[in-house]
Amino acid sequence: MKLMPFNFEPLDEDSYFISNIAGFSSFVNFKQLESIIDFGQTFNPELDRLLENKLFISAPSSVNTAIASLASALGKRVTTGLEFKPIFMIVPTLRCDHSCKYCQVSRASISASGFDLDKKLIPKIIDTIALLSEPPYKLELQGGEPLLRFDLVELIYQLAEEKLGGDSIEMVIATSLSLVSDEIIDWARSRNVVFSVSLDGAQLVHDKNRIHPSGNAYQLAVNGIKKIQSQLGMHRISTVTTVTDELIKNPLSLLDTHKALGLFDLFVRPISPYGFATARSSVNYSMQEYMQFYTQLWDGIKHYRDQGLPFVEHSAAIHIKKLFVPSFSSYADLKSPSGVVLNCVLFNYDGRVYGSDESRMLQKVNPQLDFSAGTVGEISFADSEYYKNLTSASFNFLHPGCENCAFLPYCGSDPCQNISMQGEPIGDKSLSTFCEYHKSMFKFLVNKYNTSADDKSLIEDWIHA
Amino acid sequence: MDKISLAKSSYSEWVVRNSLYWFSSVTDWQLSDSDSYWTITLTDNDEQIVSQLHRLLNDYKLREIIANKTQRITDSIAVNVLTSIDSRLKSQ
Repeated sequence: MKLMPFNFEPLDEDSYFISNIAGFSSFVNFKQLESIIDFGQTFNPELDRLLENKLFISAPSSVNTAIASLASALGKRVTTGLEFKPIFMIVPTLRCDHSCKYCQVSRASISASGFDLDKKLIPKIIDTIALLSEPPYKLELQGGEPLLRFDLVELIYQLAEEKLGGDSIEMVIATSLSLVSDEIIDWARSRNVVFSVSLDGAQLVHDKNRIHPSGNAYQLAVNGIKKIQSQLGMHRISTVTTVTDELIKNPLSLLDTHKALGLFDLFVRPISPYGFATARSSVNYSMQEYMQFYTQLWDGIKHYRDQGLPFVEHSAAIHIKKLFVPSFSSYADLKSPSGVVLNCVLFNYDGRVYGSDESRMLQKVNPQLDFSAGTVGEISFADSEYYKNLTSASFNFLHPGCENCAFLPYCGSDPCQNISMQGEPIGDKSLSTFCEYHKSMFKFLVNKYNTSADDKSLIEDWIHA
Repeated sequence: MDKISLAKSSYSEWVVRNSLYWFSSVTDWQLSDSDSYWTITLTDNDEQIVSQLHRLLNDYKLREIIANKTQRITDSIAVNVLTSIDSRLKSQ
């Protein structure tokens, strides 16, 4: 048998995860790995047949077919990755009634002026969306606190409905829910609107970093969640959790908080390493500690699932889909080439247009440089050196440190984070938080998949989550 | 600071440098060489850290064998991808 190109990653005990550029993967022990490398086979007929089917080895007479199959899979992955399928983010205002310690965008104070979107720009924004994409259109309102300018939210939806078609749009409002009122609920009732709220754990944990003048950010969020659930339905609200120093000590409190609210979908992530997020907060945990936290969270989820409570943690579910669903490529933050521009266009409150939320964060931290692609009505990504360089520098299979990684076919690149942390878009992967986090998650999940029938069953369930 | 000597006949530059690439986050290191040996100096030479380096060296030796045995196939895959794009362009 002939050896075909592949990468490997050592797991716990005597186990190795192997993958190739087609995205096929398998598990072997060290002896089998050595045997594959030395002899092009393991001498275990069943395993060898599997490895041949997955193009890790090939009969000499079939090498050309195997090459064509690997080439076809690689070509498909690159062309799929290059497809332009953006979500459209709009920032109605940068003002916010919270002053969270790790705010990524340096919000403006609630009484500040000059931080709201000009109403006159909204028709042009909707026209641009119509030009750039096709249905279904996903609009995500970011802030600041978008509901501070509910009038703009209404206008954006109304014009989008008229121009793009009511059945073709979905609007996600990223909000703290402190301002959600009966008027807003009534408005949302007949519209395709969902709310996304940050929920960092129990009251003490949430209020430690999410600062509202009332000192009651948690209660405001919980009241808003209950109001939406009771009046619009359980499916109209989702949560995002940023893991803080407070939460990391008590992962199970996060599950209890969600359970008490009847929420069984979580999206958990470590704190962003971007400029403002780390400057003002005290992030003291390492990625190793984060993964210890995550392991306890995972065990807690399994415990509750045994009791019939169907928790799903969507950050892991995304990694799982990347590993096991070849066609899954829609998650902008974990793809190669990166999702900047290709999967996101952001219209900022000041009329500037960015290819990602992270680009507007870079702009905030580095005001002397231009990270925008122009202004509404005068956008060009191709004329921007920043976006040209960013896109060409975001193919991970060309990156030192990635080329030999077994998680390469499933991973992505984050050129904005590399610029933020290391001053250039490719970055040293050995120092990259992005690499450390995603590699840790992939390794955690494949280890679980390979070593425990219970965990394997949970992972297989989440493939469809 | 301890020095680790590796015979050049056993460890290629590719293996040594790729292994050290992942070591920047673990400890500071320096690499020097003579005609026959690579010399790695680690600031932190804790036993666990040294065995981590040896594990990386071993992994990269295996990766080097895979790369050497499959380089022509990898090149063929790239040619196949480019040829397929060319044929699509010609058909338009």
